[in-house]
This record gives sequence, C-alpha cells and structure tokens, in this order.
Amino acid sequence: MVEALLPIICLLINVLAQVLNFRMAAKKRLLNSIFFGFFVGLFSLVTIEFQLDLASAFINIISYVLLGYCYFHFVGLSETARRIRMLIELYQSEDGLTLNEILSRYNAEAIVENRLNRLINNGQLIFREEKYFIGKPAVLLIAGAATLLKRLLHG
Amino acid sequence: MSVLAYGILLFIVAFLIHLVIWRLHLPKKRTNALFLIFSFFLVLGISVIILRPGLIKWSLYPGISFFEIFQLFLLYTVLSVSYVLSYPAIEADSPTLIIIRAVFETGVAGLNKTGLKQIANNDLLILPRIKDMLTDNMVYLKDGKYRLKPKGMIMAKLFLFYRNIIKGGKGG
Repeated sequence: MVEALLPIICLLINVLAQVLNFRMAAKKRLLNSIFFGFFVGLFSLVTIEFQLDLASAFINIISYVLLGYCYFHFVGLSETARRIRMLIELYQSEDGLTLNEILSRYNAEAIVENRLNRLINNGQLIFREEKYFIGKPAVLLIAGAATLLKRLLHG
Repeated sequence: MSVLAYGILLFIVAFLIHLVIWRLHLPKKRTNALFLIFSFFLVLGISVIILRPGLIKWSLYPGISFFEIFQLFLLYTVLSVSYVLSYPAIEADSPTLIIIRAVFETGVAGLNKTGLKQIANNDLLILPRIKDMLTDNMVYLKDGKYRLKPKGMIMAKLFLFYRNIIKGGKGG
C-alpha cells in the first residue's frame, strides 16, 4: 500500500525542497526553485522505485509528474493569478474595497509591467529600441495550443 | 499496464463528454461543471471495476487489488486536476498570452508599450475577473464595496499562507 502512496510522499519532498531552495537562494528565481523541487522529488521516487515492480513504478512516475504539474500550477496561481491577488487585497482590507480602490492597488498597468519583466527575464520577449519582439518560442507555442483548445471547445 | 490504459481511457471519455456538453450548451459555472463531469467518470470507472470486474481485462495481476484501485484513483484524479487547472488559461484571456500574441502579430516591426497598453486594459484584464469572482461566489457587492465570501476567504488565506512560507510578495 505504501508503494501506491509514493507519488504523494515524493510530492511532499518536492514541495519541501522547492520552498527551502527558494528561501535560501541568494537570487530568488521561482521557476528555478520549482524545477529544483521537481527533480529532487523525481530522484527520490526513481531511487525507491528502482527496487520495486517496473510496471507499477511507471504508473507512479506518471502520477508524480502530473502531481508536479499541479503543484507548478498552484505556485503559478499564487504568483500570477489576478483573482488571487484581488482576493488577497480584499482580505487585507478593513471593510472591503470599491472598484476604484481595487484599481488603485492592482490594475492593468501593473499586470502588464509584471509580465513584461518576467517574459524579458525568461528570454521569451526581447526589448530593443523601445519595442518588444518574440524571443524564445515556448510561451508562443503555449499560446498557440491554448487558442487551438479554445476553438475545439467553442467551435 | 491495465491501470495506465484504463485511467487514460476514462479520462479521454470524460474529456469527450465535456467537449460535447461545451459545444451544445456552455455551462455558467464551468469549473464546477468540469469537476462534476470528471468526478462522475471516476466514480463510474471504479464502480465498473468493483461491480463488473469481468468487463475489464485486468492483465497485470490475477485479481483486482486495493493497491491497483488506489493507483487508478490517483492517476485519473491527477490527470483530471491537471486539466481543470489548465482550463482557465484556455478559457480566460491570460495577460501573458495576450501580450505574446500581440507582439507576435506585429512580427518584425515589433510592438511598443503604448500599443500594448491599448490592448491590455482594465476592461479586458480586471473587470472580467471581478465578474468571475462574483459568479463563483468568492466575493459579493454591497453598498458599492466588494467583500469576501467564505469561499474567497479560504482561497485568500490558503495562498497568503503559501506566500508567507516562501516569503514572497502579494504576487499578481
């Protein structure tokens, strides 16, 4: 039975490694800490599974990878989700916020600025002569896949 | 390899049903509808194994063990949760994807900040999310002020707890 729980146990190792890595790193790179945590968890899982049944190990590794993907999303939501940011602003307010108060704390300008910084830091965008250009194609491919899925769902 | 094959097959069936429902009639509370569809097929899939084991050729082991059912449960659940978590990026206008698409469409000419601000404004990036929070019962509007409902309070506390652990800012 413990073998079936291995992906979850290794996810906990992943989370612990990611949090410690991010807190202790001199240069705070969230994406790097996520990859670090993921590979620490994967290494732990493969080391244990190496001594167990191969077919079962394969399923556990797939489950772990998907759990890692879910955790990546959770971290991503905490870092970039607009709804989460607005919920935190409302939670930290005394007695709720009007629309103007929300917009004075968090608005499209801040959203665009945050994302431009991230995209440039990750090399997805290039800023040259006061203009933005596509850099690495990873996010562009994700955008393409999202558009395709949206068309598939809505016709 | 039955657990893997059966888990993936269940997920594909649930996804196809979701696709058909979305084409016929777009639900108002889409995330809830997704959870309902994927949960239904999880319960159905496990019930079939337990009640009608003869229907599934279970080749990995001679009998069906609790261990295999748990593995199937975990595999299908994480597959479904992965999709449900990715869904908002497909459905909503993600600011990152809006920026990338806008820059891509300008090609070699490039896009300046003024052009970007015209595309990515509060009407597109903030107001629909506030509307979503109202629809999803996370906030309510009273006397011109938005306040948290219990569901929104739980979400805010959960993410704030994580942000405090990693010593991150407010995010966004």
